[in-house]
Amino acid sequence: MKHVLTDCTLSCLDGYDAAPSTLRTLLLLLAKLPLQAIEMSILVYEKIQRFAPFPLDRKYFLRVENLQEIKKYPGFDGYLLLDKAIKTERDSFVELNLHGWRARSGIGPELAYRRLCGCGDLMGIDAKLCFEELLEKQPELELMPGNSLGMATALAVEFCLLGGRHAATTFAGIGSHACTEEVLLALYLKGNMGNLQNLAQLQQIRGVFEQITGEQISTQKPVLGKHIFAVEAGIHVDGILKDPRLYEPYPPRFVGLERNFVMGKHSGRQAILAKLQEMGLEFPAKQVSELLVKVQQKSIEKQASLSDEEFFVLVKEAML
Amino acid sequence: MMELRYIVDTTLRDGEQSPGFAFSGKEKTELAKILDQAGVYQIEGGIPAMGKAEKDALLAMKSVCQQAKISAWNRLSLKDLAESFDCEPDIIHISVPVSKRQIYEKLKKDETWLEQQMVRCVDLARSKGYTVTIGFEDASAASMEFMVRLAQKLKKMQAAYIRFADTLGILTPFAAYEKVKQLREDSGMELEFHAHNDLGMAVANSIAAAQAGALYVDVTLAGIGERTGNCSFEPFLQAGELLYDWQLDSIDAGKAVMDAAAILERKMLA
Repeated sequence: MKHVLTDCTLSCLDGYDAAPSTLRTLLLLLAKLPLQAIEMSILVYEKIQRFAPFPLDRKYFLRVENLQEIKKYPGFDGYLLLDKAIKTERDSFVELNLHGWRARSGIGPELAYRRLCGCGDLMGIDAKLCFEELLEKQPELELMPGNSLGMATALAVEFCLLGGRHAATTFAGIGSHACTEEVLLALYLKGNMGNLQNLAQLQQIRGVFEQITGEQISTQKPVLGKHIFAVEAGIHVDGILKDPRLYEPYPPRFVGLERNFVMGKHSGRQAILAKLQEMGLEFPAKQVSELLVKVQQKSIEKQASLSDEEFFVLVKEAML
Repeated sequence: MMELRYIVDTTLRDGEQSPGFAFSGKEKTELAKILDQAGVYQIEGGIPAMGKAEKDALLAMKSVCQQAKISAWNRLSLKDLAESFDCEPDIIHISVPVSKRQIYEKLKKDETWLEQQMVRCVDLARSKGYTVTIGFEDASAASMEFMVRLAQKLKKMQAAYIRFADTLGILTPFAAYEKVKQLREDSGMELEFHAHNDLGMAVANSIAAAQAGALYVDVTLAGIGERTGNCSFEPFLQAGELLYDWQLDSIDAGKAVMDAAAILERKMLA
């Protein structure tokens, strides 16, 4: 594995009233993703510590506020502590990833690596020079980009592609960070994740995450949205039927989703035929053009796409 | 003084094309009016080949817009163009698939056919006096050499600018920067950048493309569009305004745009 990715979702949920068992489910699902480490807050840890030990092939980090807390919660692979000594430009700050206390040596926690947080206003190509300079001085530096200008995922991915070893993200970008799921998929598509069967568990994580936050993730959200593989435009349906790779950047099932043809104003003949087949409906080929016109009319009339039920009604009417 | 750049809004074409949306002519006209008042440079209004309702909507849009240029989207087809001529748009946009997979798998043609067909289409539209822009569909996966060749040809034919479409949303910002820069420098054509948000990088890629010299950037209200959508108007400007002058107008007009985006967001497929 080229990169060491840390998911910090469990550090960003203190504001939600989540049941211990739900948090534990989330932890177990996150631990199945191709990540190396999972970070959590003390509050979350106190809720789920009775379920320890956690899955063993991952590292666990705890976010702390002082050295005493490191002593109080032993056993973690690392502790994240704000570095008050370093003043940085812009909206960024530095955290330290520290090893725990070592009983034998008696000396305090040692530094594993530094984490640079923020930098959300780094834009486009400006980020390149900045990252190159940083990585030259500190090859082990971790980046946890902020999302103040909507570019956190891009920053995290480019940092890794430039050779950065450590990056920190959160599921769906909660807390204004890079999105774990987007970073994983992007690195995979760029060939930086080795062999990966799929990321289908992302859909389960979405369910648990929505339960905790009480908010629905947008149906259009990259990687996670329920309808990102819904397609209506005739030209796209036609292309997908010829070769899905023409209009799908990766197979829907890779992220636990399904393709779905939606009927509407922009449907074409091929789309109608594909939909009839998808729904297992027999329909006379001669009447397809007529049905297409009805579908388009109905869609314009209701100013939206048709539901499967509405399409079914039109099919039945046309066959009368 | 910040450098001037131009917003192309494609809510009414790529945005509407995504499942869930089917604007009436009236809605299209109202949205076009809001975008026009906000100072958007170009409004991609629709696809005339779709039929009479779409054509009527384009004509209505043109009549209400004071400054925005209305463009009509076309496949690489003389028949499509004939439908567009009926709408007398300010700009005729012709989509030209440029990746091997698009040419061979979708069109079932080859590069020679594509080039000849492109020349025929551009010739026809230019002969009628139209400003023509070309969309390089799936440009991210296409050969740079091939795109440069087509672009040089288009320059000779006086096409106005070329849209670099990241059709599958697979670029990252540094790659977008390199590709746009090279295509622009090697061909001498001005470029427009069209992002999709599949990896959550539509805004970042569009900014990088602008930094590489793309004069025009495509956005949609609420980021609606195929799959995960296009580059979203408001987040894009939040970043873009720090770098360039997009020539957008008053705060009131901006507010109307955001209100319209909020309405579309609620209409998204639930």
